[in-house]
Amino acid sequence: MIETVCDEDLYIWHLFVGCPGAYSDKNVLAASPLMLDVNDGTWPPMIYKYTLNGRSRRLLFYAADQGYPRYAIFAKPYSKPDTPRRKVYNRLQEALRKNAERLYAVWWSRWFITKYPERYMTLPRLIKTAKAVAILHNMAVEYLRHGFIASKRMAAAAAVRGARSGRQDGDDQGASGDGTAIVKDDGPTCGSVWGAPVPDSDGRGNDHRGCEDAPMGTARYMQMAEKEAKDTQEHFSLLHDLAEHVRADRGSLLAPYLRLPDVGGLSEGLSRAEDVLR
Amino acid sequence: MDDDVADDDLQVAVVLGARSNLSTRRTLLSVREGRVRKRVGGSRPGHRPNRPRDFDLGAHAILRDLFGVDGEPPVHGEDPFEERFRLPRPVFNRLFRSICNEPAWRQTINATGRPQAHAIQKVAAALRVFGYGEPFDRADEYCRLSRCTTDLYTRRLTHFIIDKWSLTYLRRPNAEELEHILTRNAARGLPGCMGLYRLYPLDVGQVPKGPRRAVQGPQR
Repeated sequence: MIETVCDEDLYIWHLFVGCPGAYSDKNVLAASPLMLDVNDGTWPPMIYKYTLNGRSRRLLFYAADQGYPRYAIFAKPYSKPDTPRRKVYNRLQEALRKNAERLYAVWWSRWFITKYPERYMTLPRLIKTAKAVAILHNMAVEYLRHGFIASKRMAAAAAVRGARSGRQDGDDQGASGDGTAIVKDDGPTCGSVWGAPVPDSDGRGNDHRGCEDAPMGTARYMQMAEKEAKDTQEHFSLLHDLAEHVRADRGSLLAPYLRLPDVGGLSEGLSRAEDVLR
Repeated sequence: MDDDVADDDLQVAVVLGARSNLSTRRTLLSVREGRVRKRVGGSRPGHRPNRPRDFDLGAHAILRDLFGVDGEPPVHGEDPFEERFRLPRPVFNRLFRSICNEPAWRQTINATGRPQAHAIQKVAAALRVFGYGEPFDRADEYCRLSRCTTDLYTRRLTHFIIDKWSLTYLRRPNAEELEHILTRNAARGLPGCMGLYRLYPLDVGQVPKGPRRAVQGPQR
């Protein structure tokens, strides 16, 4: 099995090869160095704060498809989206997640040796070949990524947004959109999800949970970190907050994926998005 | 006459001494490594001599096709270059420049005074194995390298790349890169998403997948 974490440009940020194909996803997760670091609490870094649905969070997550465990570090799509906001969230999530599928299409067609496992002869050679191929792939992506259409679109969108905010500032109060959704956090990073400015009304919003008696690296810290990263309740609340979050400005977010007839004057955000895409 | 006999004796003595020296060294080596190694390659009695491959022909063909020799432009342009090596030309140049002066890769001269394969042949053969999934003896026609040489240099290229670049190109994102990723994903509606996670079985690529529907982009 190959375990990868890639980004939108198909740059591979994590690679783990070598588990037998008979392993289920959960067994691979239990063996992967990434998840071992998650269990230790050394990954993901808790230095960023982002706000979803009025709550600020610190635990970053990966976008994954269905079939992975319901951990708080995985944002999975809803299995049966029945409300409009869940459908919107699913659409946006799979629009991003398709790049993970695309990585394997590109890898398998670009480096054909992965199609012929008998060329590897041994297991160490399989692992080393996959690593070397991934490194070559990353070097090529690093050179080529400035010409990718995603970066061009992003630059165009930023230009449009800059022009619009320059014209009438304070226009969009949506939580996402421009890069201010992510804030570098200087507060104490003691293995807790909930940040300080959270509404303290719900009982879980406790920032200094065990900060004093569990310094980093101790067994208690690791236990807390693992529990926090693999919490099922947190997973569902994350999905709920994401669905609420993308609903706020679904017009501009969904615009690239819609094929609407050119009626004109649907909304300003839609026409702006069309300008970006053109 | 006496001198001839003495010469013969001297030669026999030298040969016997060299052989005993060799066997001693081999025994010592096998003792030191804890196991008896089978001797691989090299010339020895009963071994078939090396085939007279024209190494220059392979190097000349690669240089003519993709780089241009004698002031002429290359036969293939930029896009075929990327199709052949699966790398853009600057990336390939970077790889080749760092590899071509390694002692295992540079062109050597063997005991008979004949120049051996050029570094570009070895890199090209190994990259063709990676890119096309070629069998090792398939590169013989174009790169003029034998089967075991291609195998060896594929392995060496793997080790070279991993030793040199695995800390640079196969690592977790640092704070700056993570911030870039988070910003981009926030612009697409998922703030806090730091990557796309996927497990994939290695052997599914051989199986024909049904109608192409799985992920086809925006039209749906």
